[in-house]
Amino acid sequence: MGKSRPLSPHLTVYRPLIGSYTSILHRASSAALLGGLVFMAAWLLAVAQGGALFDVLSALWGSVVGKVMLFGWTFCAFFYAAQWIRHFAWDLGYGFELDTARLTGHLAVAGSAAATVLVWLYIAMRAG
Amino acid sequence: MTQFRSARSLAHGAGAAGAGTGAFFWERLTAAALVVLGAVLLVQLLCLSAGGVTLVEARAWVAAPFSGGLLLLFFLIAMINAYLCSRVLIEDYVHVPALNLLALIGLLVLTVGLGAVAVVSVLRVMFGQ
Repeated sequence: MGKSRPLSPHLTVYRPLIGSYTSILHRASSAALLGGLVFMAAWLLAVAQGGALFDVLSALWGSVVGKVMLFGWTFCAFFYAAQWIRHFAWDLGYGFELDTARLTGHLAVAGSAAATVLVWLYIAMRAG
Repeated sequence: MTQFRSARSLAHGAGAAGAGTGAFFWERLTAAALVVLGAVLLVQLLCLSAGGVTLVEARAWVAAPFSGGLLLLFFLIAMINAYLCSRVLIEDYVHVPALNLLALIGLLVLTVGLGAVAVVSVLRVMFGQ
């Protein structure tokens, strides 16, 4: 293999399209969700142990930084689910037509954003 | 010696031959389970509290059979899915062979470790305070 061969990720060489953006966002959200699972395991450990770890995590979720993290994970989770639903359809052979694939891509992004906002409006209403 | 090996046996040595559909199947099965379990977990979390929980409330929620069982199932399946899916990212983007292998081992250690911590913590709250 020559040293000059281009290596993935090819983020800069293609014209931006909804198909590539949803694929990149799917991969990025899976990495972000793995980070979320680290915090979820830490929270479960804190619940079992009590003490300082639980106080630190409670303070984090109460802060703006923690809220932004939770908001981001909410979007990633909705988007990840939406992408898997698209993948299930593709696995069965449906949704490959260009118009359909573009439409479901836009729906996945817009739907996850809308669902995330709804969840956090509900949280704001309950808390406030 | 290679000329004595069949095309099939060469293909078997070259990569994921014979195992690829297994990863494909488990990625999809765990993802489907997570879509359903995640939706139930989200509703549970929203009902639990929107403005934070005390340690006593958190323990009662984790110790309850439905929510505790849900947490165990969700976390175990999420770890399998996280391993299978993050694996693809490492295979695609970590190009130095030695680093690639190290990253894959690291991912396995991380997901198995997180799973162990989460499961033991939930069981501890359920049975052994």
